[in-house]
Amino acid sequence: MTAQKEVLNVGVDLGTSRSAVSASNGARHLVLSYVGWPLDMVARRVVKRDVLIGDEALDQRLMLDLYRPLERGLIKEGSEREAQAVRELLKHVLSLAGVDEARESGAEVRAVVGVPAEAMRVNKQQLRGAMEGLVDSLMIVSEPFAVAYGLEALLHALIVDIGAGTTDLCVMNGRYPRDEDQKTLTVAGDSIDEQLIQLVRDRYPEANFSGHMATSWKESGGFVGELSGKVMVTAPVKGKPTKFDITEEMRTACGGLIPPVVEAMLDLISRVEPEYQPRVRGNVILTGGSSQLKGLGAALQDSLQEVGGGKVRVVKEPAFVGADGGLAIATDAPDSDWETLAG
Amino acid sequence: MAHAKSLRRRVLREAFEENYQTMHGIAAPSVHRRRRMRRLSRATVTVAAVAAIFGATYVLASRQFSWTPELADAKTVLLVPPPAQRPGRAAEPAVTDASGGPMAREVLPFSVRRVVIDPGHGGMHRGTASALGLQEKAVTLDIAQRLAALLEASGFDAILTRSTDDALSLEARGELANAVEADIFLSIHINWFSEPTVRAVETFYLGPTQDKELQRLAARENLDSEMALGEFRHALERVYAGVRRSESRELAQVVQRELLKSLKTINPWVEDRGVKSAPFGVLISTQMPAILAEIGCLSNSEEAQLLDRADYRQYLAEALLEGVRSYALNLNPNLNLGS
Ligand SMILES: Nc1ncnc2c1ncn2[C@@H]1O[C@H](COP(=O)(O)OP(=O)(O)O)[C@@H](O)[C@H]1O
Ligand SMILES: [Zn+2]
Repeated sequence: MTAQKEVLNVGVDLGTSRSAVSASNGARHLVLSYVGWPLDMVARRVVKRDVLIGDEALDQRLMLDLYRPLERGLIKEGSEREAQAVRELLKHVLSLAGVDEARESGAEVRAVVGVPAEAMRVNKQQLRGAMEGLVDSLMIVSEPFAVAYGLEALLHALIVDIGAGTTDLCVMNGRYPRDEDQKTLTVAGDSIDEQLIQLVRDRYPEANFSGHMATSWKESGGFVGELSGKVMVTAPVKGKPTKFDITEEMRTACGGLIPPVVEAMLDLISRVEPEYQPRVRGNVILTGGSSQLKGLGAALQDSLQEVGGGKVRVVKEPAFVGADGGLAIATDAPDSDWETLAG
Repeated sequence: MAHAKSLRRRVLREAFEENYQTMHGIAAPSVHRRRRMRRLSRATVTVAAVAAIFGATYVLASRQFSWTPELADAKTVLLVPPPAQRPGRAAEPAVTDASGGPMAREVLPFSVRRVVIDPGHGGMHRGTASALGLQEKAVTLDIAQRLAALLEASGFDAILTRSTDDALSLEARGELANAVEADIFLSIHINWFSEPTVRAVETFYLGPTQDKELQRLAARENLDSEMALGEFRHALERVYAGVRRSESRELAQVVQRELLKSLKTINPWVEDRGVKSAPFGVLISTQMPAILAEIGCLSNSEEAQLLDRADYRQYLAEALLEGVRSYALNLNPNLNLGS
């Protein structure tokens, strides 16, 4: 008998805006999902790197050909760069988790990578190709499934993952989700930002602010429904910092999320066997960065009232729930199953 | 909780299966899947109806098995294969066919009516393969489907444990046969011998063996099992003592005889290795006479070439049909079965 081989299990959430990694050695990291290549020789000399990832890429964006991998969920057919961006981002988060050292020391690395449901739908094969060879065995799952697995919500549950580019909904019926169990909407964090920018510009044409500022306003003051108090922000007018009340704009922009999400929730629930629908309604799990909007969980729960009521729980730490779920999958799966995905 | 654990295990299996298919370029288009599921659920209902009609004629031990497709409780979670792996039927059941198709079930008052055919391996479990890449799982599925069609046309009720390239545990296959109250269970496999000149056919029923070669074969065929070794031994001990063994041996003898009889004319080089017992996992949980037939081998290149031919596979299916028919006729000599 040979000695048991060391195994490093890794769970990765490749998000459109942020990616997270969680590994059996305890490593946990979060990076912005940006990948950039220097635009030209000059830029190359300035940034001193072949490729930049995360915050660094964002900071140097003017020098870079910048990508958000899996944006709109897909690797476009024939876009080599897009696939390359996915690969670089994954490589980066894996290295943060200590995968390179582990492989050097002879350990076997098994990774479960969660991707937006849409990316799975568009081109699984190409996605897999882009990730090839970075670990010993690789499994790709849709992000909502990783979340459901991690939260042990595999039966009679509805996962609503509101991220940046997309909202993924997935009903869990005790099986690996099929196409008909899932829905993807393009209303999510980004569309709130766009709406907010538009509304604030319309009301305060004199205010000078960037998209990133609007996003941070939303992240600190975004809400749905009622709010005691006001959302006040500061933006320069002719170079002079000025305070603005954007309460109504925020309410409208964030509230725009509710109707399409509710419609998709009800549609997925209606496809469940009638006798199990109450259980699913009572087990709605809200996750993704945008789930942190104040009042969102309560508003979605209220909307279930008209179909008999339900319960919406908001995940406490949405940034890591997908990566942790991936790690749980990697850990639970038997060696024999992992062997089938080696290569 | 055992329930949650088996649920997790099964869902994970499906996830691996999907990844495996992507890795090997096996497309699983959703439209196809959905259509299949609809078809299957109709078949499920029919199976239940047929079982209800003939319920009285079955004097078998009571089996608490639910055919509800939902995951209602721990029992169904454990026993009902997941939707993607639910059995397919070869054709619409003759019982619903009043238009002079296959003969009606009612005229078959005998003990072999429902045959569960089990195409060996599937999905990530390829079984053996020829030097040129012909895979056991594909050959067994094709022959099983041909056999099912032939059986249906002869008035039997044929049910496949899998009708697509899905992985299915050995236990699930047996449980399925029990659930539909099959009268016989026939698992189809293709062998692989370390000696490339060997071309042999052999049929097995459940029992112990001292033969090292057979132990190896059983170990290989048992790879798809979810049972722990201890559980496995225990289950074997219980079965070895059962009365089912003699019926299974008889079925094995008849099938082997008919196989050889047919093959001698078209493939005279094939060697008759006879009927043997070996500890095959897929035969353990079945509650009816059950056999595993190794009806060819992929280690020999001529044999592999034959198995790659549709007409040869049809021929094998016909030979197996003859085996089932003879067994049924032996049990009921007054029976007039189709042509
Ligand atoms: N506290 C917060 N309140 C509202 N939105 C937030 C908050 N924190 C992050 N977000 C939004 O969540 C989105 C990112 O969510 P995430 O789940 O990481 O997305 P993805 O999985 O698509 O990468 C962004 O639109 C971001 O603005
Ligand atoms: Zn086999």
